[in-house]
Amino acid sequence: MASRDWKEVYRRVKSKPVFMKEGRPSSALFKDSKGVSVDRDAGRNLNDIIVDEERLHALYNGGMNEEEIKEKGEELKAIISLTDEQCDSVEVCVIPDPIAGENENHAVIQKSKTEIQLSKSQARNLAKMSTIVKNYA
Amino acid sequence: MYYRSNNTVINQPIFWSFNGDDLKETITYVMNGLFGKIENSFFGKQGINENVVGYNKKKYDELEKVYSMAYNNINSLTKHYIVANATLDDISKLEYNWNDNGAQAFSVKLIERCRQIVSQLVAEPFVCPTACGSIQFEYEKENGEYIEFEIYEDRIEVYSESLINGEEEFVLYGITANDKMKQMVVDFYG
Repeated sequence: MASRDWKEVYRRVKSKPVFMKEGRPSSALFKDSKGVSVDRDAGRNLNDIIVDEERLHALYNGGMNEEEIKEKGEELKAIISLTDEQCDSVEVCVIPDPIAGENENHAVIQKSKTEIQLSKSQARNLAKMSTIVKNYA
Repeated sequence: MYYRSNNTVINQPIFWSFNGDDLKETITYVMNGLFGKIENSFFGKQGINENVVGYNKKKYDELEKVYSMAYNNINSLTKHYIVANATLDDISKLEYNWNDNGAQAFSVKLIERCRQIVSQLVAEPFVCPTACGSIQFEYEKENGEYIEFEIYEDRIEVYSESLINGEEEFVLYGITANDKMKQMVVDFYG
């Protein structure tokens, strides 16, 4: 079995739709039939990770200026993280899924190796355990 | 009227009764005061005096209609959740790939189902979309008890965490699903 090159995974949260309830993420943030998109730390420090998350956010909003991004509610609301231990504690599977030339650290969180969509309990527990590493006003 | 599962009658949750009823009472009080002043300008001590200078029956009837409509709207405030409805508006505008991971837009049918449900709930839910095609309604108490409903066009998936029963998960189908969900919200605050 290949060794893990990450200790934490990170997920961007946009302003809209609203996924943050009283400053905490909703379990809905971890409900995706195509797997929950995250980024591995891959040995990087937190500062570099945040800079890269902001780069990715801008990349996926290409063509829009700051005002348009704000108007559409596409601006970043927060960046959250989960440790490897937290993911293991609810038995989800983090599968590296690099996107060539765009995001080498990309990964998806799945229910198991063969099932994609997380159970409601897994989604709820990940939401409860996640740490907000950066909050945008 | 709402009931607990054991058929005893329940009042609205305390926090809602405080906000909604106080607001309703205040607005009604102000409206009654204003309407009373208008009436006094036309009515003598003996009652309606259509001969008073300036009395205009048509205008008076119009005023009465406005008052009546305002009063009815005040009474319907208890089911008009501004934030939840605004969120549903936002969700209805989401386009394909709204989560940058290929999530689908939401159907008009699902949005309308959610609007119908939200207008009949005893407490305002936190509403958000999921990238599984459902719209989620959540409730949480300070003691950690929690209930969420994932509403699809054809079913409602329920997940709850309670101090007594721990985690529970099941699905509501059919024409009674909405009513069962409403009753569960009542029981959650019961």
